[in-house]
Amino acid sequence: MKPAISNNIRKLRFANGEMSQQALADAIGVTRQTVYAIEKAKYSPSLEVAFKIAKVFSVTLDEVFQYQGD
Amino acid sequence: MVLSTMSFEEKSVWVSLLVILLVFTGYFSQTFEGLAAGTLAKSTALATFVVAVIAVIVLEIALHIVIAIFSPKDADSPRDERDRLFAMRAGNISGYVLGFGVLVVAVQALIHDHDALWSANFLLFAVFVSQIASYALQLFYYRRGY
Repeated sequence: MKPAISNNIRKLRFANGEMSQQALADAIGVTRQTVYAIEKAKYSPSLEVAFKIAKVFSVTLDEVFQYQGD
Repeated sequence: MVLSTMSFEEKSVWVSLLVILLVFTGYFSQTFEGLAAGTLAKSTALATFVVAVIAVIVLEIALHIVIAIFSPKDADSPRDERDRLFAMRAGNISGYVLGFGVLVVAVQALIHDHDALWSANFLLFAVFVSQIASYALQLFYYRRGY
């Protein structure tokens, strides 16, 4: 079942000096391919990684991820 | 390009899958032929197994060097939570495959008059099938996502 979580990571990367997927991956301690998978909503990260992403962009968690389920 | 969406770990799983398929398909076709014909000697089986294990180690090292050369940056990235999650999920299911295989071999050995060579090779076959299942499932999770 596809995760019901969408995200704004791509927009946030571009708003933050066109940060590359690799730079974000290095900042949060995952591989570039995992950042790609998260962006494409093909992987829901752990809460820890989700918070790390929000911290990198200095935003709250719900500005990065949105729950689309019931 | 699909390759750029593959982490080093995913490429590594592909390598491991292909290597054990290549080496152990050869090993089992030769061994089961000998078992069926009743011509397989214990020493031959052991020697063939040792050669197969050495072949797996050599091919794994050589092919991992090749994928590291083509993506040196990815090779430096350690396994992350996605790699670990997919490996754990695949390991969970392949554990059932292994358990089922061991059960079948054990029951067969109890019912029929099989010797240790027969049981050992069918147990190895159960390990082989469960390992294939583990690698195939990991690749399925990487491609499908979540």
